[in-house]
Amino acid sequence: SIIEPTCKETPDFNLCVSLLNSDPRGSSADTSGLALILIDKIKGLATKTLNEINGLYKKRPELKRALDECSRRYKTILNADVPEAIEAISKGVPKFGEDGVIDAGVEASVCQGGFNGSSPLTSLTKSMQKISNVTRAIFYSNSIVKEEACGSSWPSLALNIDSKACVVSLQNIQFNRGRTCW
Amino acid sequence: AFEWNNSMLSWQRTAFHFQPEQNWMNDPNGPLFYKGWYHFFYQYNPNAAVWGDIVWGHAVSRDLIHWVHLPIAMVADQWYDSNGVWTGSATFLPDGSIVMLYTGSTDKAVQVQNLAYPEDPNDPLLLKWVKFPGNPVLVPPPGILPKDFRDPTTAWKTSEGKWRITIGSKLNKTGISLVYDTIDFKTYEKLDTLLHRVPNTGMWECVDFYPVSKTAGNGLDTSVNGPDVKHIVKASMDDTRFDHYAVGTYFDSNGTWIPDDPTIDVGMTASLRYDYGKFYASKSFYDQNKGRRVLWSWIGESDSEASDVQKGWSSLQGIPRTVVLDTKTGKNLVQWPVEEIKSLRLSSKQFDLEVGPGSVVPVDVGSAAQLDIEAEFEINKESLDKIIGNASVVAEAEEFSCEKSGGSTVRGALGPFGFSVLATESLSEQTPVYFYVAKGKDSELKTFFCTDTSRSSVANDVVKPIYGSVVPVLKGEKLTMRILVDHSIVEAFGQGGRTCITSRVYPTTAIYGAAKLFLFNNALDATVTASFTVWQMNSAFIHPYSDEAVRALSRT
Repeated sequence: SIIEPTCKETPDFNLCVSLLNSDPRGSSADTSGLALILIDKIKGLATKTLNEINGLYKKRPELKRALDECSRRYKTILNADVPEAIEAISKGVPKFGEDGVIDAGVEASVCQGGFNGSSPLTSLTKSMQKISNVTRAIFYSNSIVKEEACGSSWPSLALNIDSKACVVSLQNIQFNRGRTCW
Repeated sequence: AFEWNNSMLSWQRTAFHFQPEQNWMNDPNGPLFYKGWYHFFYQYNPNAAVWGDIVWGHAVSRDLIHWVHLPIAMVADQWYDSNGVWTGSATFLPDGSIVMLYTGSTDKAVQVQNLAYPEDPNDPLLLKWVKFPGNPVLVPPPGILPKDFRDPTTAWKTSEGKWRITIGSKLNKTGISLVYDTIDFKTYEKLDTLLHRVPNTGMWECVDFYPVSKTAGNGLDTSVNGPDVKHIVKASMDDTRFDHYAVGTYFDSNGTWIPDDPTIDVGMTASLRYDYGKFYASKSFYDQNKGRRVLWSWIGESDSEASDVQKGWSSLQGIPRTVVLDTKTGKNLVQWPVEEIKSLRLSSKQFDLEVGPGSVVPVDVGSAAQLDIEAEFEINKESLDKIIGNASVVAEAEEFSCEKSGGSTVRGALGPFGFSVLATESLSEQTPVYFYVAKGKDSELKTFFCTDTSRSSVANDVVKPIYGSVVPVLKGEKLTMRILVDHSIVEAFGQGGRTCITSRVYPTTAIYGAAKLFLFNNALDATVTASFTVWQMNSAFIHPYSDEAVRALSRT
């Protein structure tokens, strides 16, 4: 299995291994297959978070505005980021998949930021950011997507470099959003 | 988090740039001029505002500015393009007919080249396209990975009378451009040599290859060659998403090309770029109507996909640019918005202002969301002499860079100065486009042209880089810039188009009537004279497809 060597290239080895080992496809998957599994995890987590958001409307009606924004952001993950990423990987153009995966982390961070420091979704947000970063790193490992000079070409980004991933930071949400061509 | 409302988001849509009515667009494809019409095809997702389900969108225009959308030209309906009808280029045969070569992603996601042509050559709108029954015409050759073989160029003639194309790829980390000769566009002979290769530049996408005149200001048809001709190789770098080019010499005999200066070869960090902002997957074509070479480019979004979904669209095309070799320097291209853009100019105001160090001056032009600005700057000679002769003024030209030297608020002896576009009255949001002149260790001055988007929006879910590069300024030249502002896009051209910067910006309050224009001079010591004209720009009113819309355009 390529799970362990691949996960060593990511910012969170333990999370990466546990996510991939929890899926029966993991042991026999190639790098693209691993990325697809992780995108499934993003989808699952987004669905779970949306359910949580729906429950919070009753429990915390005073948070309606922030919850509305979160609902919209997580629906973007489910309806735009995830399908874009799956299609891009299966069609052999992983960089658009990378865009979707990065955006999932961004949307989660934006949702979190709407609660002014007292978010009931903190742990779910962190999970999404972690999975997003691990999945992004998988794109770099084994060069599904080749290394990108995100530090040098985007100097204004608040970068928290781990491995080769450009990481979304909560305090100052910045991200690299590029597109490829063919 | 910043909460976008629909009024803010609908303001971001442009008024005179090409964009589909809705959903996702990327690369320009097969641009051409046929029977009085400019045709534009593009990578298009008809189903969503994010990438996917790619087909060929299509539009026509009489002037490259006013467009009518046409029905989709090609969809993914064959095994050899069922995973996507990807980027391609057009070639005119001597009898005036058109062949289109494009990349298909097959049912197995292998990248192959396919041939298509208009069903009815008498239809100036070229509405229907036929895919050659013998497709694919090219598959990845031995040694090339199945997903590294895409974006065929326009064909050019060899001295033997064959057609020749080039296709970008990579070998390990070396970016390469494969070369094929053909007589009928159906069967191809691969040359043993590469057009060019540059180690450590990664996959080359959307390669463009064309001649430029060393002496004349006109464009050249792709097959032109001769002693007065240099050749440009451009590649879109998959690794960095920048479009790099180099000027060099083409050898017809073996289909190879070498750069004039190997230290700035295609894709090297120090090599030239068409544009130092958001600009990728560009493609040029020879416009036989006006004898010029015109450059199209995909300008992506810098906001979040949630905003794209809410807006219902994603991506623009830059205003088409004429592209010629800079006959004054001989070392770089100059790019300039096509002259037809001037037809959108409405009322203008002229200004002649002297601005001292540390000043910001409102420029009263009314609403500033759609502008064309042409400006000339002159640093006061007295200030200039004082700086050059003053040993205590630190030499910084060697270290300065737009991206890394802090942007428009960091003050030096001779800059920054320029315009803040899309600014609020209080400058809480603004996008400065400016020159920064720096003294070198040799006391020579070096000029940089930059756009600082870091304060363009208070929203926290958009990317806000500082862009720019050095711009050549020859002895006796004034500093000049042109800026096109069209809602969420700002296109800046320094020194007549030697250095260009395209930015996407998403202001939240500097919108509608609150979008203002300012002139600023943040230099510590220099007084600057600015002479400039600002035009309000009309909308291009891009129309959905209807016979009436086509008739209306054809009357123009």
